[in-house]
Amino acid sequence: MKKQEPQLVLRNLVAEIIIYGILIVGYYFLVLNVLDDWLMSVFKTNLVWYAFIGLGLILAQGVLLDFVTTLLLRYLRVDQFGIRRFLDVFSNR
Amino acid sequence: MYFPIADITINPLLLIGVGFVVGLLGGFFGVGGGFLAGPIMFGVGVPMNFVVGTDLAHMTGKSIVAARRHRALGHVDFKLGFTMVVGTVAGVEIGARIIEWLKKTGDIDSVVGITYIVILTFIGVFTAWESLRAIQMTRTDKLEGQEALGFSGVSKKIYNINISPMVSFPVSGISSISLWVVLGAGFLTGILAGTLGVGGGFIRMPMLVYLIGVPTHVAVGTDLFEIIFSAGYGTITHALKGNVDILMALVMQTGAALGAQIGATATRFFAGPKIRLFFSILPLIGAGLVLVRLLGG
Repeated sequence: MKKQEPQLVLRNLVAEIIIYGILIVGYYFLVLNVLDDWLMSVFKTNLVWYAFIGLGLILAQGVLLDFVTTLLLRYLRVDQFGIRRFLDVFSNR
Repeated sequence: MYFPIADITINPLLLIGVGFVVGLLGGFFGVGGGFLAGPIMFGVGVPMNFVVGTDLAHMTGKSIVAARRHRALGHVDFKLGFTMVVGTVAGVEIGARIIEWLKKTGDIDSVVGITYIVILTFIGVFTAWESLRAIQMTRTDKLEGQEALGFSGVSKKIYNINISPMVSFPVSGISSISLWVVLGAGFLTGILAGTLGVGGGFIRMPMLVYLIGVPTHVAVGTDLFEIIFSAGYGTITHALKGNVDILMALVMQTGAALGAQIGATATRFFAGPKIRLFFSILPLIGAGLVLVRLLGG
């Protein structure tokens, strides 16, 4: 293994986290600011609806984010160069 | 960012950061992470009732991401997970009743706090001892690191309990075990979780490994799968009482999703004993945090 490999994979890992961070910040401003007022009004008027809508949103976002992160990690070829390689380099199996 | 439901202003980056760390731990160890996220959220000013409810909501979403990842890696025993959920839900209800009874009889904070410290310290010390022993075994006896277990006596005895119906869990490599044992393990975890007010991940994971004899990686994935149901159930009950700020949970979940992916993927690169050795630190941190809270009044 080349000496500079740990630095290289660390750099790739940081790059992945930055790209994901930018996407998430965009998503956050776009989606959550839209939901803000509507969720507050549901919270005030009907807690049963709020409970089930809340759980639905959490579940939907979980699936969506899983899809986005999987796609992103695959697109960035993480298997070869990123997180997995990072772990491979730094873990002692 | 202002969160109108909890009526508090918090930097969303802090929430995303907390979510990321908790997601990382959750994906790797199969825990909900409430023991860590709770004190931080409370520390930045989130009201206590919203801390518990919101934490459960974000835990549900994070567990979906981590469990899906573990499923892709073949680390989720759905049959075992569904079976244990039945016992867990019943146990949580009993645990909640124990809490109500303790409220009437005495100093609930001290009783629950001390119980919490004793149980978590035991789990932490025992897991550390066992995993170090297993690591030693892999070196001296040249055993396969992935399957080495420094303490397998209890699970072997449990397999000999012949109370029908007997069931098998092929994904976990269990050919025959009494259904009542699995339900009982879920029930016991549920009681502890309901009484101590935690998701139960760091009780359930060692229980799956040491009592049921599930391989560590499958225990982590199956535990996360079960957290989806237990935390989802908790989210509904707390939301009905107005204790959940969904916006806050959604923000935390964005960080947790990435953390959970990395944590779950990371399990591929460590053998079971090493995962258990790292895991043993978590209950001790949890016990320390409760001790500090008790001493601080």
